[in-house]
Amino acid sequence: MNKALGWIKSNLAIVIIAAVAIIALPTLLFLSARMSTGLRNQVQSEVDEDYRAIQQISARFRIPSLDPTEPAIEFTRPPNQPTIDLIRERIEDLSNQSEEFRVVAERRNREGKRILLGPTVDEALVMIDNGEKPPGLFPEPDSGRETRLRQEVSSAWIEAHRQALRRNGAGAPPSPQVVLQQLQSRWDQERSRLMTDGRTVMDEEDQRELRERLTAERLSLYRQRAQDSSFYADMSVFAGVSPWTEASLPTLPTIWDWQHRLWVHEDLLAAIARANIDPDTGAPRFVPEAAVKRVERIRVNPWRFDEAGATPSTGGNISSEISRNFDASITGRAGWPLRPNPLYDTRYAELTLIVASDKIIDLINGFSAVNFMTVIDIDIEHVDHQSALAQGYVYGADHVVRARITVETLWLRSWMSRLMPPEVRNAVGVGEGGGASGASNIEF
Amino acid sequence: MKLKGIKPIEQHVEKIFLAVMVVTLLAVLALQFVGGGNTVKVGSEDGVPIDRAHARIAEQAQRQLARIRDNEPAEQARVPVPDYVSEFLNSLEQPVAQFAQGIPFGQQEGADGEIGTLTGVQALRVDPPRLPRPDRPMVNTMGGAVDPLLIAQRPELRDVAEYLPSDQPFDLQKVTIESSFDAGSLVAALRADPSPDADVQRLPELWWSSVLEIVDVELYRQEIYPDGAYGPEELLPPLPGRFTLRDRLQNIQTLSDNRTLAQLARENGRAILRPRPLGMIAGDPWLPPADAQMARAQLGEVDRLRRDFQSVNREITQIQEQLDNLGRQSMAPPASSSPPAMGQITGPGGGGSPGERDRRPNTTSTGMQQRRDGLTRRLDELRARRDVIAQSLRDQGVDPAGVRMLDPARDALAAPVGRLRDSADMRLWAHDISARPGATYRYRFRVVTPNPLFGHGATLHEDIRQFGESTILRSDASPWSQPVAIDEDSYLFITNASLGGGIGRGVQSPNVSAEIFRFFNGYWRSDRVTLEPGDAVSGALRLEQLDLPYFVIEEDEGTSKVVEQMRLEGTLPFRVAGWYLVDVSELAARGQGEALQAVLRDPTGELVVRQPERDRQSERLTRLRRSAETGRTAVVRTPEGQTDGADGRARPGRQAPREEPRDQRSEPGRQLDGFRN
Repeated sequence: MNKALGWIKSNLAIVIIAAVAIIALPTLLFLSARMSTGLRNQVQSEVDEDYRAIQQISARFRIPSLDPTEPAIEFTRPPNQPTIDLIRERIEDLSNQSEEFRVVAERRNREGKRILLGPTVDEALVMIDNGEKPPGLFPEPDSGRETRLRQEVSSAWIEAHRQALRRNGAGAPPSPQVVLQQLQSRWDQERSRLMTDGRTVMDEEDQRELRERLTAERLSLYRQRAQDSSFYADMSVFAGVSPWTEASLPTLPTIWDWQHRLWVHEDLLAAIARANIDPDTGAPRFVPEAAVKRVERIRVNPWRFDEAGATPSTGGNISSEISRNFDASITGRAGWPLRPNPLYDTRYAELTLIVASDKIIDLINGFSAVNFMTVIDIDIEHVDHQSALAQGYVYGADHVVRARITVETLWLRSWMSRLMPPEVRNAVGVGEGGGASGASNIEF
Repeated sequence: MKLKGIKPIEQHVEKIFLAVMVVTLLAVLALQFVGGGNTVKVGSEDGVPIDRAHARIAEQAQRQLARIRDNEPAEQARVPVPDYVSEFLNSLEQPVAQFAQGIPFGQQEGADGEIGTLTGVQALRVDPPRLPRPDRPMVNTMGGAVDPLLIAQRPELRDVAEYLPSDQPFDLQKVTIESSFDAGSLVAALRADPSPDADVQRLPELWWSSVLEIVDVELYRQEIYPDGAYGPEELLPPLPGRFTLRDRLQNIQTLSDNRTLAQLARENGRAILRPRPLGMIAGDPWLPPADAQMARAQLGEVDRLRRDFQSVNREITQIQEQLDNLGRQSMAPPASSSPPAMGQITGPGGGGSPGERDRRPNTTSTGMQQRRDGLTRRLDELRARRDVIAQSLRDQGVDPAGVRMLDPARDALAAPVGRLRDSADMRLWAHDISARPGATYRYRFRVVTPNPLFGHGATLHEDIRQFGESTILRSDASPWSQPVAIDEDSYLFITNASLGGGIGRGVQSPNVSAEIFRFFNGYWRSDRVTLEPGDAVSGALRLEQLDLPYFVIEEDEGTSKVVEQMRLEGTLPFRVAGWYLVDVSELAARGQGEALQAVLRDPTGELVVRQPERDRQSERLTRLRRSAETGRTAVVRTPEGQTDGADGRARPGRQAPREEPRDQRSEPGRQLDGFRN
């Protein structure tokens, strides 16, 4: 130690310089790095700030899609006029399409519909738009004619169903009385022909021959009628369609339900007729070749507006998305009374049909092609072909099954609500401006 | 020289120190050049030297500016907007699901020729149709001589007309019974809607409209015995040779048979509902009972009008003669005005008294003219009155000579028979040719139609199915007609009675005047006889007086025809068999005019009292006398046999052309063989 001190004292300058050199090295390194970082940060912040400022000049553009399965077109870039103009153009186009879509959808929904004891729906809506009151019961009857109309509407309702059956090619087998009469005449003729030799009793051979001839005659009668119709159906297929027998006149809500159910029935029959069109030729097929052979039952549950009470208004804005409810249907669509929405109401129909098993797809497609109907359920069971033939139903060579299907039908409030009686509007929650055309779902 | 005691490190420390410093220096220098240096991040770009950072920023700014000034729209914005509406509409047309080919779930079971029982036939509950019963019948009897040629052609007539004589003339008392059937009410009932309370439906019109026709008219007869008791009711057969469906009614087996029956009934409606009467060659013209009744009612009026007509005609004739006389007188020289000389006959009235002479026709020209004028006026009045009477007779259907202008029988026979469903009241009649002379009968009808329910049993409700088992419907019987008495073959009327008396050769025994009638060759023939107690009631008539024909009929090649016409000859006996005059006596109560009575014994041995006054007033006597009067001049028709036009009516007063040569009348005529007394 003394030596060291001594050495240091003897070489003090060197030591000091060496010490300084040694100390300075890291110290200067440190200080240098620190200075460099500071400089860098400063520059970085300046650069970032400038960069941010530059970037803020960009805009976010979005072109929505009317197809919910397609995403919207979104991008961000500095706005330039051509882009702005083009975007505007696209959005206007979409808006027009949206309006056109509404018109088309509404037209499809009410196409061919006629109001009981009144004009067509189209004519009635034009009158309403012009501030006139349409003749008939809806939306409000003329007080001077209301009683008479309410007296007559039941018959008109039933007759409208009959016409719908006729219009869509429905038919029925010949009545058993007619068949029996015809067979009796034939029996007389054949018997006379066989008994020309003065006999009064037929032998077994004669009886067998006579039976064969009568069977053929009977089948021929049935087949002839089958060739005159697209499908078998008569008035008895409509559940709940019967003359009004109560002492008091039907109320307007009741009549509105009749009206609505009539439209549902008409669409269902049109769909069945559509299903029976030959896809290759476009011509209607008759029963033996048709997809739907027979309608056994059509049930649309009646709505009781007076028991439902008032539903809160769903508002007039139909632009907001209607959430799907898959508990109600596989389509997710649900309407009043389960989940009222301002856009549409749903009514469900249960049909029991005799269909060709290899043409069930035609049946499903047929319903989808008419109005806004969707088959949401189908059950299939075996059919006793023989017993049906005994009643006169000729199904042809097709293998047939009994299909119990449930059909969902949609009814746009945009036009329905304008014809609804006030009590019905209140019951289903149509607001003051309910049913008016909604804004386009475009963000701009 | 190497220093001792100095370690190497001591020896080289400064060099080491220097080396370290140099290395450090080199390292520092190397860091400056080798290391990254001071860089910043510009945007997303890292490692931008600090001295270049601002330059980079400047570049960014330039780029942004360039993009802002870009004349082209952004690439992302150029994406075309889909035609959602078309896509939507197309999607609606597209099938929801597609398969190349539907797959059946199984195979159709074959029908193997059997299609099972016809089911669903709604059992029909209807009110079984009921035929209304016919109206109360009217009856008309008339006698006549049946066409002998008809009997030769249809021997089966004898089976029915059991009282037909064995030889000509085939006198027969036939009865026609007429009624009406209210088809309108039947059809109205079938077409009427059932009461809403009744659980029945209307009978389908198709069932009855094709089969509902009258296929048979059943005539029932019941004899009324003298003691008032009724005999059994019997169904009379239809006239032989007339169209009938009665035998077919038992053979109906099918609905088709019923329809055939109905069709035949429509085609032969007149034959079924209004059969022609049996052809006659002599007798009063046949009339349907309704027309006969009207004719009888008119008879008195017609007779009166005829008498008036004849009376007026006579007076017209007289006046015309007077006018003719006046005319002749006016041309003769005028008579002087001095009174006629004595003895001068002045006219039919002879001389006459002065008063009478004053009343004789004024033969001066002025007087004649006045008389002529008066007669002319009277003539005009009579002629006018005659025209009125003639018109009244024509209104009764008779011409002034008493001959019927209208032929109600022909009109009735020719009247068409419509379909039952189109008719209101249907007139119908039937004939009875088996009535026994002297019997009293009453009649009634039933109408038969096919049963509209027959053949539809399978369709009928089980409650009424038994109504479909019968093949025919039979109406309830009509009310009975009034009793009608069939004329006997002969009648006796006591027209006068006398107790006799006188003295000597003028003594007369009690006696009666009687008029005996016998029906012969279509009319009543009469003979007047005087009977004394113990005499049998009988008379006779020479047939030659009647000039009646007898037709010889022979069969030639299967056809009967008249080959010769002869004249009936011989005596027609008028024995009213078994009757005898017993006595003529006074009535117990005198002072009642002619109070005599004849006591006779009838065939049963009973005593019968007849009063001439009553017999003279008898309506039957009047009728028989009229018939006898007509029969005197009536001409027998030529037999025609079975023709559609033959109705066997003789027209009294008209001469029928004789077919045989007149010289045959000198040959022996036909004697009455086997004539029933």
